[in-house]
Amino acid sequence: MVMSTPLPVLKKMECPNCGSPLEQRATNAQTIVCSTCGSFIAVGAEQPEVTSKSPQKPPPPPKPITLGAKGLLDGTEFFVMGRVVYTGWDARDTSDRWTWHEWLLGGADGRLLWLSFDEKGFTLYKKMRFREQFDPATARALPLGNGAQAMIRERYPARIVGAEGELTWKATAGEQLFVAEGAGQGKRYSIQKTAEEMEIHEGVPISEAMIAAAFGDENWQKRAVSSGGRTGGIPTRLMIGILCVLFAMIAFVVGSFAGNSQGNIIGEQRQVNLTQSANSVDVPVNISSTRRPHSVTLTVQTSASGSFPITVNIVDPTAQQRLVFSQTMSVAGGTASGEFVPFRSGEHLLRISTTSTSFDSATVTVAVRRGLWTTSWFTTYAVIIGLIGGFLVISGLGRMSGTTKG
Amino acid sequence: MAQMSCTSCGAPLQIENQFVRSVTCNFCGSVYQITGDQGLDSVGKTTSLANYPSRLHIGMRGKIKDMGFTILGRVRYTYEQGFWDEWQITWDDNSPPSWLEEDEGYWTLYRREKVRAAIPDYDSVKVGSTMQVNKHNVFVTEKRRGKLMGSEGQFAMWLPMQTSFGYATGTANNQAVSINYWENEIELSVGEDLEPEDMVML
Repeated sequence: MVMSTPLPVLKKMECPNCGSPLEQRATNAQTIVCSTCGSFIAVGAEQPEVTSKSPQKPPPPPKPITLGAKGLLDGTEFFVMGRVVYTGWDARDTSDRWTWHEWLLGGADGRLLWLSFDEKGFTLYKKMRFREQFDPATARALPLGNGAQAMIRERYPARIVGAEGELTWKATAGEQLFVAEGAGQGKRYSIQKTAEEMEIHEGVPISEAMIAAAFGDENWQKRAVSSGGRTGGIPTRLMIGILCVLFAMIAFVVGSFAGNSQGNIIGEQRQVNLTQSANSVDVPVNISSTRRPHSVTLTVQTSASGSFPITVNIVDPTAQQRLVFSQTMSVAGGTASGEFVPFRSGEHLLRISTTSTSFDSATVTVAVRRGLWTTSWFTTYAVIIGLIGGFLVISGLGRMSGTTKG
Repeated sequence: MAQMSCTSCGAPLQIENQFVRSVTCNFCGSVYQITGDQGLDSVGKTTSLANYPSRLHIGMRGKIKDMGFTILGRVRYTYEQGFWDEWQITWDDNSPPSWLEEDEGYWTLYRREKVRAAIPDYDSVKVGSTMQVNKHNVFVTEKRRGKLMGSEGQFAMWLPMQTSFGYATGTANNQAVSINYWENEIELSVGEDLEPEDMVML
């Protein structure tokens, strides 16, 4: 059950736009949003005045937090003064927009706190002082004093799209600001800049179950706990990014095995000799799987006194010959490999030849493997999906820091 | 403690101590400057703040880091996007009065500092820039124009009844720095953030 004993009314007035009764309960309220007509009304001057009007009612709160509700956080009592709904957007792609909610909490000790809720869950923010000069438009890091820093993850324009209750500044519907979000030292930081002012707030993530407990809402708390204590949904792009990175890692692992894991289809590794007089040798290979890549690996030991060119062709049952690879070996020999895709099944010949005249003999160990998938395919796939995943993860993490204060 | 009367409504005006330079009539909002011969010069009227809710009130006593103080006056300034209140406090040990400013429930205690070197003019100040003020390298976080809206109580300064004034605030070495550009004066104040336990109201 939410603690909802109403605070005493400090001042009563009428909405200058629609005449509905308005009540001020917070001593430091500067704006009251009329719940009837949505007008933003500046209070604190001799006469309340309408500063703006929201074209539509704010979207309902995403969590059961009501205006005037009381709670207890960190041993301090507070009550919910108001709620502001913000929309932020990517300055380079204005179709990329997101919305978050912030509740303004008035503490019994007079301090104001902002409880932000977005796709990463709840964060409780309080105001702090800038330690050093900081440019939210360009700086990569936010100085926190004593050499500590918070990394700036995202910056974007935002505006107020709706509000309710009482606010502590002369708010207007559509009010625009520039936001930079950072994280470091286990905390989150939100910087807001207008032409006249820069503010910074420091936040700590709080689980939904803790927020529910703070408001004394047992049913909500049970729901939050049963949902695994999640503080909020993981951003879609972050989730996709993580999956992409995971697939890329799997692809790398599988790829590293792929080239070696298939059996040698010519039985044991075959050893053949090349000489000056017999500088071309055919190795029979029985192909059963067509249109699948096969790998050929040669290990060459030679007495050549110079470089040693070696060529490998595959001859299919119709006597058609195709190059598999051609490579110049070093004097001491070495390993060479290539791939081919057979289009026919049956007996093939792997034709190994050299044009070198600077050797007496060479011993060539031949292995042919049926590569259902090839290492290079996996590697290419892994790199592409890894890059996409990395971009999405970075972008998603940046988006997760997308909270701000009014 | 001198006793005078409001020339506008006749209500009694009691001057609390030797630092007081302005007094607001609690009944009609008339503002007086105290002249050298302890006379009163009426300089106009402001909105009376008596009916505006606040957690503090004139005459309230408290302690800041064990130093006793009494709230002497309250002034409300407006700017384009709202208003803020400052509380004039007088110390029990008779040291010069200070200003208490509240921002989102966080208190800053401002003490006036003499301007010892040239200060950038108001028009050249830019939010997000750094400027040298005395020995302070001030990172400017706010620049606006304000106007006196209302007052109650007594003050150790002549209240700025002029139309508007510029001000800039910032931070330097984790201290608050405030510069008010009055019509005939630049006023520099350096503030200390107070933790909740630093200030106790009695």
